[in-house]
Amino acid sequence: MPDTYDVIICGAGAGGGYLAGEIAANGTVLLLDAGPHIGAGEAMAPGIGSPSRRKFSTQINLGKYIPDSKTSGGQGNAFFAYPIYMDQSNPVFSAVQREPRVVGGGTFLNVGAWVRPRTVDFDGFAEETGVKGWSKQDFEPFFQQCEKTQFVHRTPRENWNPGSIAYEKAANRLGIKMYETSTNKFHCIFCGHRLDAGMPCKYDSLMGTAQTQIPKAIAAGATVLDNATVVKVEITNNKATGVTYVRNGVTTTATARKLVVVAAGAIGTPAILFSSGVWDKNKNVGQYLRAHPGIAMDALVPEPPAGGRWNTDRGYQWNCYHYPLDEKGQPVDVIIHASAGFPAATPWVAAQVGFFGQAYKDLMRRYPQRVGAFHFQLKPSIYGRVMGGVEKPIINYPVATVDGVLEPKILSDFTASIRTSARIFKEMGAIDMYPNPNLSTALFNQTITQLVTTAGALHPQGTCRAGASRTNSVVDTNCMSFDVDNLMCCDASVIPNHISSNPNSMIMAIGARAGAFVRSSILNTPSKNISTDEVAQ
Amino acid sequence: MMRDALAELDKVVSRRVFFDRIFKAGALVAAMDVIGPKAFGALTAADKATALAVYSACCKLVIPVDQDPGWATFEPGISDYGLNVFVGQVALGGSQQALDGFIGALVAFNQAPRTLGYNDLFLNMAPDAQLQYFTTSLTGGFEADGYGDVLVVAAFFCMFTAKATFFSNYPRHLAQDTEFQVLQPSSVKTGWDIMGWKGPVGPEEEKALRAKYYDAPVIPGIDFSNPWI
Ligand SMILES: Cc1cc2nc3c(=O)[nH]c(=O)nc-3n(C[C@H](O)[C@H](O)[C@H](O)COP(=O)(O)OP(=O)(O)OC[C@H]3O[C@@H](n4cnc5c(N)ncnc54)[C@H](O)[C@@H]3O)c2cc1C
Repeated sequence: MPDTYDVIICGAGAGGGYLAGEIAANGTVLLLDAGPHIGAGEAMAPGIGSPSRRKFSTQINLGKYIPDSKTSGGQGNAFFAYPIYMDQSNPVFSAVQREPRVVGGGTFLNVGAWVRPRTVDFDGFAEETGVKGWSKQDFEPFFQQCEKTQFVHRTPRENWNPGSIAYEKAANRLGIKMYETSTNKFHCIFCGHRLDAGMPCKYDSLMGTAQTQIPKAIAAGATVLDNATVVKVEITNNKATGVTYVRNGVTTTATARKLVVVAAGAIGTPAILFSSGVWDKNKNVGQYLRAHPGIAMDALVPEPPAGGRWNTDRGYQWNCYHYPLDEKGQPVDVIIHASAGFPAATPWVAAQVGFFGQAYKDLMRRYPQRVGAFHFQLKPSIYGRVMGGVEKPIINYPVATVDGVLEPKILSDFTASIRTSARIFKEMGAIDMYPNPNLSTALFNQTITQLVTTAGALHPQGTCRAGASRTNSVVDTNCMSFDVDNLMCCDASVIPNHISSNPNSMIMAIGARAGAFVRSSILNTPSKNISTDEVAQ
Repeated sequence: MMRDALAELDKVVSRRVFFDRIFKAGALVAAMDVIGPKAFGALTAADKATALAVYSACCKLVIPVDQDPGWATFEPGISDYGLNVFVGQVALGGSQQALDGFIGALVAFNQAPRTLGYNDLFLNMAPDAQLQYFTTSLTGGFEADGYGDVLVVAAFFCMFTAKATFFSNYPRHLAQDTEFQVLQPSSVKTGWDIMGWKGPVGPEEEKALRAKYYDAPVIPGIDFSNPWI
């Protein structure tokens, strides 16, 4: 195996994986990822699944704890969990969701909701960091490109979850406008498993980078090394010259002739830059962590539509979403993914309803499938921070104060959004819901606080953000480091300010845009790009 | 370099605030204060045994045995699994510090009733009194007594993780390394049996789903009726 490449990419997730597929035909590429490459070398079979992925991804919320395999009581090394492919990313307890460690990154096991950011987000980028070239128009072609490569589509209502249809109808009756949620799947067979996100898609239908761009990169000659943890970018005379990684206990340094890309996610990327000494040059590394606190809302609606069960099959997907509006008709900073008669077997959902004891057990017997809505608060008035290197990054995302008081904007936005969903659930005939806005204010606030602080904030972003100058950011408009030549970041970390959507679409668009830049300005090659369709289909 | 970074971090948020700002961790740090310097790795075996007993007692309140099995049916394994695997690895992200904090919170949960008018340890109280104390803790009823955070966090984590563990089909919750996960036959009803949940997709159902949906029509692209995007 050669040890010199044109480009070395550290991290094969949404950003790094997408970029690899865009440039591999134009130069030699090494793609490193700390996690396993599940089903590597097996043919992609959307709707069916490759043998390894079928085995790895069971139909219930189970998984392997990689790599520590810490369990107790002789339970073996497998247990159910929510994103569990985590090793060193979260040694200090924090209110930010852990990151996956697997080739494909978050795209390998996420829900598959494809939502574009709001227009205000693009305006907010320039306002926050002065970054140029990040307007909605600038990104439009890259979103369109990603939507093609990832098979982004909507599902006709005939295949919606009955809960989604009922929620949409009830919302419309109340004059609340709903929008259809797109998804990046191909030949989905509606097993219902995606709402238990945290496990890969057994049927290869979720079009993550491991299904699309990474095979495309491999077909074009890229080398992919899994279980390879990058510990450092080699920097000589202020220029990135390579990468040191540990694989199976062996430390290796590979040389990059033209570019090193750090794409290890919003926690992993600042950690690598920290270990590489870039934080010493630019204290914005790891600063400005943004995230989306989340709350799952759960309702008991005794009458399923059309006399059936809420989930005629397995429960499908998030089919529609909305933003609650304030009294001026402007969106509050919350996105509500309504839909799904949640399969109550998902431990997180089963655990939601706020009471316990005999009443709770009776409820689980009577209403095994319930209607739900997931609320993401999009723009908390706080920054968090990631400090420390690959060995031990420390994440601080202060959603609550010293006294346990939730950040006021998170509280007021969630109060508004939960009240809105509660009106819709009531219109659907709900007899109970959780959280319930009819609780006393103190208890309602406490419930929201508990849910936010235990569910954690999802979608970390912004820790090596793009901006106009090194005084307030880490990379420039093209995601190139201000401080080290030949060094790029390409993942959620570069997002200049928090976005109003689930972030996959934005990150892949960043990967596509970075690809165009690398092809034209780093590899100096005309766009030569093989079609994703040739590989994925 | 790490020291520099922490000094830098201290400028933005002091060490104490760093922990305290995070509500959960704040409560866990408070729990450590309650039980003193024993926390942070120096918990005794007796503390751990007490914590497990408290966890078990709370979870039995959350999922009682009725005509169907409850938490007690699956003891002693379920409490060990719930505390050390579910709480430790899943809910607290594998952080030993946080788990020690939670264990501290459980020890404090056992001791606190003495100073809150119950005159006894939680573990020695009658079931009705335990239920009342657990409920009052959960709803923040002891907030004025200086223990608020610790008791809420102990009760809330017990409630949340007991439900999550039980209704994830314990003790048949482990992945089988097979293409179709087959559930082991069991004479005792599990959480899933109680809910009537059908379990993993088997070969026949998979075939039927594929016949129905594999080539299902889709609407390409995204919904531009959303004026905000
Ligand atoms: C359970 C879950 C559900 C989600 N659902 C949705 C959804 O429905 N819609 C949506 O838009 N978004 C969703 N997201 C978010 C989305 O998947 C992430 O925002 C996105 O994947 C982040 O992309 P990234 O490139 O920044 O990082 P990642 O995709 O996390 O990729 C980072 C990669 O870097 C690797 N890495 C880290 N450190 C190192 C190192 N030191 N050396 C080598 N490799 C390293 C990791 O293994 C990983 O593969 C979800 C996320 C999760 C976890």
